[in-house]
Amino acid sequence: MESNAIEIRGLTKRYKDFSLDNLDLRLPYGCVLGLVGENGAGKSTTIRLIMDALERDGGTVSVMGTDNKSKEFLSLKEEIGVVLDETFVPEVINAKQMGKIMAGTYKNWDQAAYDGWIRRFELPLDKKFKDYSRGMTMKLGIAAALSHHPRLLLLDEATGGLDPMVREELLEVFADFAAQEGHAVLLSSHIVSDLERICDYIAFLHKGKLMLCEEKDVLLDKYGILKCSREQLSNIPGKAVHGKRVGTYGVEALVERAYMPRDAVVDRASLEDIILYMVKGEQK
Amino acid sequence: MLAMLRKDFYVMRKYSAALISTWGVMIVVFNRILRTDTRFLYYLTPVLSTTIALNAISTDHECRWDRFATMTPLRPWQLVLEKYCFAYGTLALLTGLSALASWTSVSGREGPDIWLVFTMVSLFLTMALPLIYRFGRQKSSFILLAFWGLVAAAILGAAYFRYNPIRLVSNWLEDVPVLLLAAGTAAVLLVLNTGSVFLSIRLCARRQRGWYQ
Repeated sequence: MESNAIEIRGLTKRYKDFSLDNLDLRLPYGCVLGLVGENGAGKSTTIRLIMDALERDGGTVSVMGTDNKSKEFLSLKEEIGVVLDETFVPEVINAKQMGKIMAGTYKNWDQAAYDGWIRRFELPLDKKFKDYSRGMTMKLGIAAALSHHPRLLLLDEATGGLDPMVREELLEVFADFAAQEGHAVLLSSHIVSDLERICDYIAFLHKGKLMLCEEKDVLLDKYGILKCSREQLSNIPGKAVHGKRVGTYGVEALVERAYMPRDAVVDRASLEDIILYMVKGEQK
Repeated sequence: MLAMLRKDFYVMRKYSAALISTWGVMIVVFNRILRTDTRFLYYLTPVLSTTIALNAISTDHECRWDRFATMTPLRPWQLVLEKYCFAYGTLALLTGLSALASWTSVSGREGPDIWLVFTMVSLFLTMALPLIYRFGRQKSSFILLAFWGLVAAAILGAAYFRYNPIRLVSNWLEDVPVLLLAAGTAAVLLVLNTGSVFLSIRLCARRQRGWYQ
């Protein structure tokens, strides 16, 4: 079996006012890849391009070893569960009817599994979708995505707008899914704390450009926060500093540990710190 | 495809039920209570199917089902063919109901005229469905309105100059044997609908891939 569930090379999509530029990504099996970025950074576009639901302008996308432009990819969609950030179910439909519709959509549909997820998420079977809360909506989408036994889950802002309890519950579901053999999850979000909790890899998209794509633990080891005076910062090699915040009493900077003097005291940086400083650094 | 038919049935069930119930009440009131000519109701009934079919498509756009469908193994031809089946299923049902109701009409049976309406609605659908896949509901409504407005203006204009194309066609058709006329009409509708389906599949696939957004 190939080692990557998703392999993207040089993926490019141009719009009038936005471009996804030369994206390179890979998602190994057994892993969760967090795609982080502000609204409009290109996260949803990337997911649509992975599913070949959008015409691309360049690059290649291979999903579970299959070129997503090939005819075989259509059949492979049976093995991919997708949860979109927007509602997609007509508002007069309920969970019971949704199950019947999905049963005719996916050959591998498992009604017992769907019923199990509906029970686990405590979703009402006969309540119309229009009366669902955001959390219930996302749970229904996830129940549908998991009930045709996918090997790959693509989740577009699946935890956005949810309360912490529901988010915690869903993150647990995604982590359990990824832990199964031959499975993988791509989770796009701008809630960095969620990604930090369950992701093995982090890809940071900013204005359509991939700013970084690395193993989360490597990333957290690689960068740190340095708190010092302006004078002290001026003695640090320029290539070590990736972003800084200048205050009245001193400077806080995101630094790369490898280039720092041995005696420098560098605190642990959170994923959110790394991303925020990188964006600020770029603005400077 | 059955799954999509099921979805459209769920979505349009309540709306269609309200529409058909209103129609039923009107038939009873005009036919049995007021005892007036109810032919217009029978002509109108199959036309309602266009509203139901086009609403089914626009509901898919509004709730983003069409976007979700691109993530599933469903092919564009399945999505399009389902909409044609749904539209023609509704049209057949309403035409049948209308024909059935006309037999009890005080103004007499209206069978042949109802089939003429069926043909007109079918022609409308061959145009409307590709247009909605290309331009969406709102723009295609304007285009259709403009087109049929021009057709109506042309007919009225011709009538003004004592040249009534409808009467001419009717006179000509009266001389054609009924079976031949039915077979010819069916053949023309079949050809037009086949072309319309293929065009809609192409347009639907392009719309899915973001060509028209």
